[in-house]
Amino acid sequence: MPNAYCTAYWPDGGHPQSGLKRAIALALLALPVAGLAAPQAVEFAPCQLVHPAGLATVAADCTRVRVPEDPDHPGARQIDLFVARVPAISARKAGDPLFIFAGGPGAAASEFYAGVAPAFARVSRDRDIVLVDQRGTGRSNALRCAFDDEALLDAGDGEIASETRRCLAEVSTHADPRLYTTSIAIRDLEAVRRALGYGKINLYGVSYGTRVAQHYLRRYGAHVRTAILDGVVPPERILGPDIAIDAEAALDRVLARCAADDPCRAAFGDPAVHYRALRAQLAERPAGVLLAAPRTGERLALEFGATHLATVLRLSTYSAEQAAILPLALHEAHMHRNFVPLASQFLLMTDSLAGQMAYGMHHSVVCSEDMAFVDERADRTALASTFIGTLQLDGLAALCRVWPRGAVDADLHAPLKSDVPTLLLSGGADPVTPAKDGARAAAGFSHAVHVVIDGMGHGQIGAPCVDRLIAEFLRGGRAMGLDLSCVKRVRPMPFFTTLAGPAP
Amino acid sequence: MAGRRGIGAIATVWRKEVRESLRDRRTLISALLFGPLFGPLILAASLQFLVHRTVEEADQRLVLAVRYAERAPNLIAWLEARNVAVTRVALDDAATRRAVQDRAYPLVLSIPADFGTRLAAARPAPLQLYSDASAGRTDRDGARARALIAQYGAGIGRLRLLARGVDPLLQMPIVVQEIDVSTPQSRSVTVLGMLSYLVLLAMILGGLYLAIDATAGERERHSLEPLLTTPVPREQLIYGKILASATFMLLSLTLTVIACAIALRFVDLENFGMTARLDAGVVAKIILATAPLALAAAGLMTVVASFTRSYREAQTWLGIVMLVPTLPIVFVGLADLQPSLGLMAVPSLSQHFLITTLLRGEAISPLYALVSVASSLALGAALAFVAGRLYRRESLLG
Amino acid sequence: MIAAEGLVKSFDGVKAVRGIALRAEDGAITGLLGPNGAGKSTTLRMLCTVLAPDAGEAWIDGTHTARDPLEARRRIGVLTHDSGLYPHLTARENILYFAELHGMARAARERRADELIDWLEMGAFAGRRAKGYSQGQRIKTALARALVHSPRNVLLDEPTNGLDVMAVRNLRVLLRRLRDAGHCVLFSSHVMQEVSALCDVVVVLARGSVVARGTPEELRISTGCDSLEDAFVKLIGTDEGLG
Repeated sequence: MPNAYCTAYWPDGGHPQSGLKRAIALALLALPVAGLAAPQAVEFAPCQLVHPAGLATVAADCTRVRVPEDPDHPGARQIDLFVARVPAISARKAGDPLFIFAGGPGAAASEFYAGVAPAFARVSRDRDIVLVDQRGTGRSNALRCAFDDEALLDAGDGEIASETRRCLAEVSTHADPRLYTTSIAIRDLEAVRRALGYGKINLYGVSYGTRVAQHYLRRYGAHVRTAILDGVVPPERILGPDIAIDAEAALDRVLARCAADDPCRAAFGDPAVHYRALRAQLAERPAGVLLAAPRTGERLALEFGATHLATVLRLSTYSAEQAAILPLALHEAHMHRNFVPLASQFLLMTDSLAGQMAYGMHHSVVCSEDMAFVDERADRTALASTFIGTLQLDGLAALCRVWPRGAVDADLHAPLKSDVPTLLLSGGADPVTPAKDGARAAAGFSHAVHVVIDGMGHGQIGAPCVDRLIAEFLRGGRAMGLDLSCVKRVRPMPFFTTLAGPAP
Repeated sequence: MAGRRGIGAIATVWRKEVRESLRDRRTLISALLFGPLFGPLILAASLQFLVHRTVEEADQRLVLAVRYAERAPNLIAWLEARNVAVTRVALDDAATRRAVQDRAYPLVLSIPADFGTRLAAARPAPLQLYSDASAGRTDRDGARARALIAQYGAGIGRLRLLARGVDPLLQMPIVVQEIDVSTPQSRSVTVLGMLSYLVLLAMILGGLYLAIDATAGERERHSLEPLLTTPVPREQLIYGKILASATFMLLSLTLTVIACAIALRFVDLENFGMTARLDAGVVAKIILATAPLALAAAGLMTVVASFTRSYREAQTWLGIVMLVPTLPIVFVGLADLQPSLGLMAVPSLSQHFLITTLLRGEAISPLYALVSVASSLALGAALAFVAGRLYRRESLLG
Repeated sequence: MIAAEGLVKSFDGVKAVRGIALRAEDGAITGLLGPNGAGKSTTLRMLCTVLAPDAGEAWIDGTHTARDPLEARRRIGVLTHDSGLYPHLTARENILYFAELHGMARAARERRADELIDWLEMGAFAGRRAKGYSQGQRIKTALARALVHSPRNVLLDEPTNGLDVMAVRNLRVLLRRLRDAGHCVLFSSHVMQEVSALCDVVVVLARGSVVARGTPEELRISTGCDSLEDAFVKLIGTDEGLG
């Protein structure tokens, strides 16, 4: 089930975009270790970065940096890394740019940035922003696979395996999927830093990107001025059984927030009651839904089952805005047998994910860095009570049995100690990287501040006041003394109590 | 004898006028202080103010007074999360209007009694925003408040569609993706449009008093009559004076452009995504491009001053006439004209185009430059000729 | 030598000069005497080519003022009604400027300026800017300027205006020295004493015409008056404007 379920971290990514007028290939990075190439004169050409949905574009200067696919065999296949630099508005800019690492794994930094650029507007005033599409994503030899999400939703292990084999065959035509892990990717990033001639850089990583950022810190910390980790995956964290448990906890928090909110409780009572009843109902028997497809308006019939519900529940808690209509949708389905809100959200969520992620790269990372460390014989009883159950774990296990595993740095999951000033951001109701993960990671940093924003989901970059916070942090270069007052005022979107909207 | 050494006589007059003006505090102040110093200072200061206001206002908390805040607690909480400082006030309509007018509360949001019921009925729910559109700051803050409220409304609208199973993106059938090819330099031209205006004015101002002094002033001091008894053709006298005035204009022009280049270094235009780095090359080119106009400007000033009967009258007239060369620039700004070969034949306009092109960091077409120089010098020669004719009149002595 | 015949000049239809003829010989001081508005200044201005006559002709040392004005100007030095100095230049610079306009070579200019400063006893102020000069200093400077090119003919328009007694005496001495050096000196005045004290020949103007000419003695005798003053009053028909 390589759909939303298998998306371990951050559901964002993008389509390939046009706009690069010419790619300037660098001389081969001939040294045995990628990232130790001598700085080259990199020539940039104007380009536009386009948001996956096409809603926003960002002007940038783009180039390509060529690296060997396998750093141990520099003479073999070369791949071009797509590098975009969003020039600072000010000509009197800081010398140290901000490198942005996207989530997924499988999302492209350049596409991620196009969607969240307004949140970096303050940073962009006086600092270059550098976006490197990590190897295997975006325009850096993306390991992309076409999937039929719908067909795979309730697929058995056999179907997942055959689908994964097809995907593997597809990406193997232009890549060795064992070489697309974090361990190698950070060497690329170092090569880009050197090629662009930067002494020190700042890092922003979101979700999976925080793993990249922390591993980069571990290897090349001397070149890092500051780091921002948003939706933190501590190095020790292995994405596996916890996914289901964390998702359940986040849902509990969302529903509890509704129950504690007067208008929400007045409208729905305790929404957890609807949730549990609905789960039980659907586990027994899927509900037949007739609806107009949210986008095309075509009439379609859907057997809405427990898996569908789990998908909606999990992805709804990613963002507080989506979560605002969750109690209403559960209530509609349970009390009025109106499954249209849930079913249409399911369709929209899977629709918007399709094609954005480079699933092959996702598999390379997850199978090598996470599933490889999961003990499949471990006790699974804890998962039974969650809405995800063992569904995702089984699915990931099935595809990782097919997907080749790459070598991983021995210290990838070792605790990280760093004195680089670091700002950690967590959402109070994050279903993937809960605040306790942020706290755990923060413990390894001697100069860090960990900010938890109540009620928010995964990734805080779009939250109000975070744009100021990161701009101030980057300007000062220190975590201490940051003005955090605005964080306390942030409230998630109020719950919809009727189809008309929230209480006034 | 004088005929043979006519050029010499022109040079003699030029030398004397320049020397005398260099000793005249009034001429010096106008040539070397007002234009070259105050002009760029005012330009830089006003730009700096504009830059800071724009950047700072966006960073400051938006102060918003709210009537009946209890009618929309969710809205208020949402605004407070977004850098809005909400003050709850209990004022009636009349008192609110007064408070806004008096700036006691520059911006007041009032929540009508039916806001909640209309929102719950999925009908457009009204909010009232009191502001004073004639007060610049309030107006800009009002725009911020409106944008925030609209953002909140858009969020609700999106979720309304989602909850009904409709893709919110259906509302956006078409998306325009802007591809802005402007450069920091070309963007700064919109702000620096007044630079050519300033440079021209400062240049003319530099030679203005000399032009008055050499004509109306000389007549008023009765030094003209003895001058006319010397064996020098009258037109040569005026040519020398025009050249002296043009010299001071060139001096003022050079100083002004250099001063602008220095002053603009202290403006944080970069915060606007602009750059106004006038390097030595651009400075030199701007001076060279504008210089040919000095002759025409000096000629014009001298011709007009020759018509006046007194120093004071000349001052009054020239104060108006010195704006004439800047009129084409204003017109071009209003009509948004682009450079063309025809327009390059219009003195002052062509200099404006050349300066703008240089500020944009673009190359100047040699043909355009040639036409500009030729037309400006031709106008200057024509005006000098007219001035020479005027000096032959007997009424010159007044 | 200055000569004029039938000079006529109108301003806006008003006849200021109605057919004046005169001669001023070298080595003599000729005075143009007349009340204000008699046409003295206009006549002088026509003689020094600043104004062109409507009718009539004038010659400077035989050079026709209308046909060859530049040559005529080269032959005259003019002290205008107002001294008209450049306030930001020193006396010496004022003098040198005119010398240059007359086309004199640098060395000659300097020498001549020194000569005049010495001769007119201007040494005390010649290096100072003209802005704060006394009337006497101004007149001296203007005179030096008018003489810088050593003209044969010297025209002075009311040169004693505003001068104190001592300055007037000095000026008289200067003019006599010019006459004695063979210059043709023509000056206008409405001050009778000045004319009678200085002039070899007097030309009396009234209402734009010459009403009499001759030595002061000849004028007294021809009018049959006991005093020169009475003679003038009789000649111009009124004592108005005569000082």
